[in-house]
Formats: sequence, C-alpha cells, structure tokens
Amino acid sequence: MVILEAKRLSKHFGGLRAVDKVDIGIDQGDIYGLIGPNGSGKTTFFNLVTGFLPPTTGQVLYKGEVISKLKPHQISQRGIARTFQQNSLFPHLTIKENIIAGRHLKTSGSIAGSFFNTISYKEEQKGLEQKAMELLTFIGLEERADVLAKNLPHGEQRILEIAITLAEEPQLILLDEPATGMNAIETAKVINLIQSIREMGTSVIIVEHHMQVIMGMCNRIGVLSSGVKIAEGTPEDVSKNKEVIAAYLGSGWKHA
Amino acid sequence: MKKYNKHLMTYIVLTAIAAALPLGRDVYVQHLLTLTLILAIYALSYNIIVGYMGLFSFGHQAFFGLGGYTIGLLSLGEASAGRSALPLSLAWPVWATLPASLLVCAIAGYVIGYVSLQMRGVYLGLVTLGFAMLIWMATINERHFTGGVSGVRGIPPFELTLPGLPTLELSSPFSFYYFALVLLVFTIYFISRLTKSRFGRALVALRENEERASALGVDAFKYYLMAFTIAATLAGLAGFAYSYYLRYITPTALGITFLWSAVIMVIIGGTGTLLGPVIGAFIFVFVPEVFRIAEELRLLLFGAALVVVIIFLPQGIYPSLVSLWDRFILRRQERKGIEGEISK
Repeated sequence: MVILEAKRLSKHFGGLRAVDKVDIGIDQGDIYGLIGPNGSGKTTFFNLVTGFLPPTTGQVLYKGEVISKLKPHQISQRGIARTFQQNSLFPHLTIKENIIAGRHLKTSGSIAGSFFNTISYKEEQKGLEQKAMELLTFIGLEERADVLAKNLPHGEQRILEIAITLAEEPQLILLDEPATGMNAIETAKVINLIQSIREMGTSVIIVEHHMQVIMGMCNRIGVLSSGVKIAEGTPEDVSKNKEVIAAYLGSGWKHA
Repeated sequence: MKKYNKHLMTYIVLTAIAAALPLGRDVYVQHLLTLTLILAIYALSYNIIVGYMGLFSFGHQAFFGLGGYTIGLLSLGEASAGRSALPLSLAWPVWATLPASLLVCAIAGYVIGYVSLQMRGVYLGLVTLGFAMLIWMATINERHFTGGVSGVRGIPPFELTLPGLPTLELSSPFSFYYFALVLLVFTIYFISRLTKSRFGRALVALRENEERASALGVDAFKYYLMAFTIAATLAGLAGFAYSYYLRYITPTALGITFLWSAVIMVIIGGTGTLLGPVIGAFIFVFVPEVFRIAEELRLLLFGAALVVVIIFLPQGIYPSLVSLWDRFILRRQERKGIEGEISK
C-alpha cells in the first residue's frame, strides 16, 4: 500500500530548481533511501513533505490526502515525523524532557487539570515518565535521563533526536542524515535503531551520505541530482546505474 | 513525591515570611511593600512572555493600564465622578469590576496578540509597542472619557460585600497588603501549574526550538496566542490591584515607564523563574528608597544595573542565587563526606 506519494513535486527558488518534477511513492514498511550529491534537493524534498516549505507546483499525498498545503504541525498530527540535519534538540531541557516533548500529540491534559492537580493529570504525568524511561532504555540513555541535552556528545544527540521522533509513534519517519559525523560504533547503533523502527512497521525515508547505512538497510533507493530524480530501484540496480555514477563522479572522467 | 513536599514547604515558609514583613513597620514601608507585591504580579505576567515564550513584547504596559482604567471608569460613583470631571457614574462593585477588567485585558491581549504574533524578533517588539502607544495616546486625548493627562481620580476604596459576611474594606496599605499577597500567591501557583501542564511544556519547547516543536505537532501560533492572552489577563489583574490601591490612575500606567519597569524587574530578577520577578520587583521598589534619589535618577540607576546584571549575571539574580546555594550545599556535603571517611 502506498502511504506517501509525491506527484510532479517542484520547488523553485527564483531561477534555481531545487526540486524539479519529482515523482516518488513510498510503500508501507519501506525503508527508502534518498541519495544524491550535495545540493541535489534532498533536504528541500523533506521540507516540502513536512510542510516547512510550500511547493511551487505538484502535490504531496499522504494516505490519499493532499497534505502539501498543510502547516508542519498539521502534517505531524497525521503521523509523519522528521529529524533535522542540524542538531535540533531542546538544548536546555533534560534528555527525559526532550522525549516528553515528543509526546505532545499523544497527551491531552488541560491547564485546569494541572491547576487542580487532578487524578487524570497525575496519571498522565506518570504515563509520560514511564514512556520516556522506556524509550531511553531502548536507546541506552536511561542512566542519563536528567542530563541537559546540550551536554550530550554529538553522536548521542543524534540518537536522542531519533528517539524524540519515535516518542511521537509516527507511521512515517523522515531521517535527514542521521549518521553524520558519527564513528563506526555509533553508526552501527543508528543502523540497529532504524532496523528496529522497521520492525515496528513504521516506514522510513532516509537521506544519508554513509553508503554503509544506505546500501545495507534500504529496500529501495531514489537518486536526486540537481533537483531531478535520475534513478530509482534496489540498492544493486542503483549502484550499477551509469547516470548515478556520472552524477557522483562526473561524466567527463572517461575523456580525461 | 518527597521533592514535591519540599517545594510546598519552601513556598509555605516564604508566604509566612511575606505575611510577617509589614508587621510593626511604619505606614510608608507598608505602602512600599504593598506596591512591591502588585508590581511582582505585573512582572510575573511579563515573565510569561519573556521567560516562557522566549519572545519580546514591548506593549505589556498597555494591559496593566487597561486593567487599571477599566476599574477606575466603572467604579466611579456620583460623588467622585464630579471630582474627576467625568460623565461616568456607574459605581460598579468589586465583584463586577474584577471580571470586567480581566475580560477587557483578555480581549485586548487576544486581538493585539493575534496581529503581532505573526511576527518575530524586533518586529514583534515594534508592533506591540505601536499598539501600546496607540492606547496611551488615545487615553491622553479622549479627555471626556478618560480624564486625559490627569487620569481618573477618586476611585472608591476596595469594598467587597459577600452575602452573610461582614463587608471587607481595604483602605489602608496594611490591609491591602494581605489582599495583594493573596493575589500574588494565586498568580505564582497559577503560573507554576501552567508550566507543569501540557500547555506549559509546549511553550517551553517552542522557546527552546520553534522549528523542532512544530515538527512535533505543536501549533506555535495557537500556543503563543494563548500564552499572550493569559499574560495580558494577569497584567490586568495587577492593574486592577494597582488602581484600587492608589485609588487613582493616570496615563503613566499605560506609558513607557511601566514597560521599562517590567523589563527591569524580570531581567534583573531572572527570566523564566517563579521567584525571580518577585525579587526583581522588591529590588525595583526598595533599592531607590535606600538611596533616596529622585524619580529621574531611578531609571538611570536601573539602566546601569540592567547593563551590569546582563554582563555579569546574564540569567538574573535569582538563578545565580540558586546556583550559589547549590554549590554551597554540595561543598558542605563533600566536606561531610571527607570528614566521614577520615573518622572511619
């Protein structure tokens, strides 16, 4: 079943065609890798899907509904979560509070409930704490639950960021370069984490330069170059594709 | 649970100390203390915008003044209306003026917030300032309705009659102090519960990282607007107390002076904390009294203090005190630990 569909999706910044007539379909349970040289429009594509940028032309459909005119929080309400390329945590909140922030859509407590400290308020607080600790145990940060997020090392900040999106219990996760700047051990950790996300039945779109991550995990890969989709298919197909090789290495090398 | 009780105990002790403060003091000190509590409520309301939303509004004084003016104009009776030369003689009682002033401020906060929260940064500051100046100018110029520069005078004393109870009349600084204390305790409790609610968590998430929070499903505009309206309403509560306490209100209460006072109290005291603005208000009222200097020099002094605090204590006085205390406790525990090891 197709859950996300981009139809002739374009984003132009003045004369620059950052994303140009891209068609992409994501099936339920896919781990879809989006690769391409720097500046090929991968992050712009993410911003179009999650409502941070309005498309110039074309549409994004999620489960058959057009979402390209919605705001980020409305898209998130429909079950699409994302991470950002730059570190994007709540730096002055603790690790636990970061996770709890991710539970925003899964809670419903009112100000009045908090004011009168009602039973339902207390229960929701308890549930939040429990859920946060479960997730922290899952990513192995439970002992540092009360450390401020800004004090974590880079690799663990990236992993915490994925955990925040998991707290949303989304159906589709968009990961923007989750393994940037990580060493081999941390990269392996991220791969494990994404594997277990797939086992939960959540679909993933991942932008990444680490080929180890992309080739080992994705069942389908799309390649963007200068905003245009130049290839799509299984990891084997894509890695043999002439256009893809040309885009990464340049096409003039034969004549040199 | 233990931590919660400890917090509760701290607040009970602090309230008890506050309740004992005016006992046996002369009337002037009691007056300053009462003013401190009223300004503390105002500072706390501004702190919602600066400390919890992380935005800068320069129009908060308008809500303080609007609250005060609503009381003034609605509570004037036949006798006092003559003194103010105003045509109004509604003589509304307290139980009617209180909700009226809160409602006026909530509506004004919603409308002004709705327009200005489309913007961020310095533009937000300018638009809110523009609205406040507009209200200030209108108050000065619409003499027949607002009393112009001389404001509304002869506001009747705070008098609350509840069925079956003796009339509560607060005409001295001493009695008004305890009423203001009740309002302040309510405000602190309200804001403390607000920050612990889902709403408060969303606000703090927005302050920390607006982009990230909206990707988590937080509707930034909705939450900002709600918080702005709540802050405006609480500023109205402070204005309400101010107006009933001094029994007059002039356009100064809507003017730029009250903007700077809010900024000074919150930044010196400590943004984003509950007790910081209260400490800020105390310093704002009492330090100039200690030096006995003129009104003009007061702002100069606080301008300088603001610069010093921003450079040396960027978080404000209260958070710095807390971390100093924490370090003190930690060092004592360490010393005890070492002594314990030695004695073993």
